[in-house]
Amino acid sequence: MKRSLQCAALLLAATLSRPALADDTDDTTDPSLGLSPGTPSSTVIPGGMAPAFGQHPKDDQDWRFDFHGFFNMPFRVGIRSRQSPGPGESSTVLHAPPVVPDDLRTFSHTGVVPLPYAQLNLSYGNSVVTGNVILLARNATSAASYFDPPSQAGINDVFLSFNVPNLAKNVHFEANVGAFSNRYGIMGEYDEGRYATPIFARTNGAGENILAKLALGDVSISLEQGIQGQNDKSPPQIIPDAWNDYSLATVGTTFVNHAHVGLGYKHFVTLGGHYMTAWSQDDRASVGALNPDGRINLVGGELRFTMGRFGHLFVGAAHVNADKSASVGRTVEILNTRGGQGLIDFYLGPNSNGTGKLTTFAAQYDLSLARLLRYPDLFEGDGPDIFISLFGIQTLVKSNDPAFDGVTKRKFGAMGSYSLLPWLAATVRYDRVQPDTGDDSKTFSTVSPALLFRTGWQAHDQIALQYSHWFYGANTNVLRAGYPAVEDHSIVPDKDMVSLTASFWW
Amino acid sequence: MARRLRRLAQTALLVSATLSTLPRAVHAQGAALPAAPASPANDDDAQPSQEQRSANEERSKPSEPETNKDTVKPSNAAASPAAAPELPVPAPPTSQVRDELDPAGYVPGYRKSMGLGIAPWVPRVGSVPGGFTPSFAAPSPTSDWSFNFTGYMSAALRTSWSPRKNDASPDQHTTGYHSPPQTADQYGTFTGTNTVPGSWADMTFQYGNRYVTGYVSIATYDPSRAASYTNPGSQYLLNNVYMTVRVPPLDHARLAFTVGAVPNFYGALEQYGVGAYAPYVIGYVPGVGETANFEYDLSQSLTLQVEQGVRGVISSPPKGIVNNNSTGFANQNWPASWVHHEHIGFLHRGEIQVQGALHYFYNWSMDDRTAQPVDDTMTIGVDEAHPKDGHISELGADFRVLGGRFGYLAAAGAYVRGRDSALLTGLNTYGGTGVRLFKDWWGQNSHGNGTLAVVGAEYNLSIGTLARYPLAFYGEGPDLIAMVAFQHAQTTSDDAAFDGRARNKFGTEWTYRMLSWFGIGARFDHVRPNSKDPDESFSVITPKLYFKSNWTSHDLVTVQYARWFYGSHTAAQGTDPVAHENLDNQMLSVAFGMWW
Repeated sequence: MKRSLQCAALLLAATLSRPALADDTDDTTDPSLGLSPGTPSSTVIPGGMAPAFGQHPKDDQDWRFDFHGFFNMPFRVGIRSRQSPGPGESSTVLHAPPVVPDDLRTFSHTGVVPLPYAQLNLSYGNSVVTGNVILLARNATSAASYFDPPSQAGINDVFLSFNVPNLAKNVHFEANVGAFSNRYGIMGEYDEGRYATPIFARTNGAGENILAKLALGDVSISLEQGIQGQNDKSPPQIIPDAWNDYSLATVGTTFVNHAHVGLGYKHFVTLGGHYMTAWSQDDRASVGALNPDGRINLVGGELRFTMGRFGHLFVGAAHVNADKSASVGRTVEILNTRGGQGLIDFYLGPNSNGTGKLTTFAAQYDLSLARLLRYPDLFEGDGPDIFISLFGIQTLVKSNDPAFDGVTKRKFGAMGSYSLLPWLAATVRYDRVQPDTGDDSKTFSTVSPALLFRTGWQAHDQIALQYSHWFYGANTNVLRAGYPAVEDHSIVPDKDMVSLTASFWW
Repeated sequence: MARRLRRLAQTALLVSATLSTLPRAVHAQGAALPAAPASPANDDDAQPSQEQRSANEERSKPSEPETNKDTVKPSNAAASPAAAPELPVPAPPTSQVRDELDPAGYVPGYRKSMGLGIAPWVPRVGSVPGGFTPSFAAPSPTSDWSFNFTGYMSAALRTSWSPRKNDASPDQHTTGYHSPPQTADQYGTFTGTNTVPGSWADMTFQYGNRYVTGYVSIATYDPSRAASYTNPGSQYLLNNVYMTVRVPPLDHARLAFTVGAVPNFYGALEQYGVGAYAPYVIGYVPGVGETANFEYDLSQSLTLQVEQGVRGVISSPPKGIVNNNSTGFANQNWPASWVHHEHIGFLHRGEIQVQGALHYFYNWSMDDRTAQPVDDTMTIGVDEAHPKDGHISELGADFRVLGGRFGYLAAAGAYVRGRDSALLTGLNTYGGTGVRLFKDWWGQNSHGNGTLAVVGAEYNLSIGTLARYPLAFYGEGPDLIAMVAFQHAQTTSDDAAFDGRARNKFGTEWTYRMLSWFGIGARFDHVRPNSKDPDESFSVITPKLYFKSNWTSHDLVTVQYARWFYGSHTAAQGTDPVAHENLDNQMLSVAFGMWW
């Protein structure tokens, strides 16, 4: 009995004793009967294999915090003469924002009117995996005269990035998993182009995106695939209002699946092909009426020339086929419109039942003259330069709504800039927009000279002092106003705008 | 055709010659690139920076002998036989020349990423104007930028109580507890004394170098965790977004520009804060725009300070906006408003530092979009069908003495004049915007016409510093701190009820810090909101206990009790008015504050 007890005691002691851990000498843990207030209020990660929040990783010296961001903050004033001023009213009116046909969701958007935007990228990770959180706002509260909840997106993107550069010989693998956005048809070399419009689509949702690149000598092959959905759906009783960004109960849970293939040669040219399908098959979207399951399909191709001193050229074409797309949600954005309802509002028309086609062609060419003309002498953007940019988009609409069927929309422009001093540059931009090439009276143009102030030749900061003048046709009427914004043909637009914009990124 | 080609070639040569002969200023300090060579005719021979030399060793100029890196060459030497170089080196084979550029910065044609899309973390914006600022994702030269994270936060548990207003039923207590406290002390109004602690969290992320810094702040006055309902307007989220550019020092002068969305504050009565009473005696200017600051040293001890600014709003409330909590109670009748402001002052340095300034503000609107089809007869004093272009002008002055052991004294005054300003926002004077001046200071029968004159002063003294002199004392020991403050405001108005009305308040606070972690204090305030009705006056007394982690730590926990003594007509004004019969006269709070 006594021996049994001794054995039991030894066994118990062996069970209770534990190996000395590095943390044994760490006395920074506060005594507590509950969880630390900073512990996330979410469920545990499945599997039981991931250390809990707050535990140091074994190789924490390989991890690091990164902080990047971008903002664009404009002071803008639209100017025109007042019609029939009365007592106590001045003969000139000043508007903020400028009352001009430049709404982001419409084809008429040119990007001439600077838009407020701020983004903070917080990331933590190592060379293989990084956690990313992006805070985003399209307004600054201290400069807002009213609170517009949708303009403060808050925590917008939350995703993991995996980067495996040498998965196999000459194979590079990347993946993003979480809530993020994909964009295809990027006219700029590193940004969304002069029109801030991905010509294929923008996807928004939670899901995955996998990229694989294979290098075979001078040729590289890129394969990309992604699928995303939404976290939730507008409840049936929701009333469209500002606080919910005018959400509709008739829009169903939407998914988007997309695949892309690219063929590159010597970093000189890339040929890309895109396919995307977004659909909804949600019975909850049929509130009080039969609401068919909707779908939007997209195919497209692009050629991107990275021509060294000869500049950068993007040429792309996209074909969108929307079928009863009213129930397709904001997971997919075509030409900056949101979901099927966006296509209906801005391209297909209210009587289209969300059915129609868009065929889009786009191109953008950028050139640094100093780089071209000084070659083979070295020029790295650290001196006087002339920058030229040419760009344009054309979209043909086929719609079940006769009023919108057969309309061709076209816009094109040019920008020339002269960088003369490290801190000073001048630019002028011309845009011409034809909302309907069959009706010239709706066409309008803008001219926008600007002075650019910065702290160096290649600075990440810029203050742009810009003046813009609009030349309107007799029936230029793509102006939207109200809350929510709707087309208002009674609006008299501003002819002039002055803006002072701070742009900064890190 | 041949003639056209010849013309094109000639134009190209002309442009090339122009680009190569333009004088190149000294490179910005922030760039990784060095200064231009001394000879102005040889712009294309700028020497690469140290980190680029190793990369550039692979690239050589064709048909030119490789020279010593310090030798300056004419740019057109390739077309004619060159003189014998000092250190002849065989020219590299032409096939080694590659059209590569890394990092390319803004220069197009050298895209590194061959992906078919764009990375999720790239901002969802187009190109910035001009084409010369590298895009967010473009590889750029390295720089000497640094990150800084600053902030402030406070939060408070607070409750006021009083006997239940109607008879308690068997299932009800006879005392009612309220949060937020229902007292006459409303923040930002004249009856506010800062007795009731609030919550505020403000984080500022800064990134930049000595010449340019970008700032983004996130703020809220209602942390969600402690909120009993979702209050969208309380989450400012991205609140201030701006950058400051500091021009390299000129001779005895300094110039800086701030551009973006950030307010300017004037008339603070404390060294590092607004003072014993909010709001700012002179006011503040919110919005987006620019502020230019110029300083010039007139002598070793005297500096001239000049400031100028313009502010507007990002957008004015659109037609159809709902006037409720979700929109911050915005009004579609508010026009787009603008403010320009100018200031001039001086700073005298020495053992006693003195600073003074004069201020001028002009707030106006010229917006035709707010006219309604018919006048809303429920809103007295405003004709929504024929809104006039209103304006507010303000003159202000302030004076402050940083007296060393004698403490800190500040005084400020302002004269505000409004015309048809009932719907005007923008400039926040001592009495608020035109909207609040109309409602709380000039009356509805004023139609937004009136004047407001205000003066205020505050004196803070550390008796421990005074008593220890000439020994230096930096707060790391027992101390007795005293504060005295007063403010007086007077209005004229077309509304008889507000014309000639004076308001004043004064207070004093004494704090004894006896231990590094503990102190006690007490504060007394007396408020007279209406010279025409003495029964609106009230007083409040507030004993406090303070807890810190150390003498000069940046943290503070305050436990306080407050007792109000109301007149028979005392009421709370502002956006959350409380009638006299609903006022609580006692409050208990536990609050914390911390900054970094």
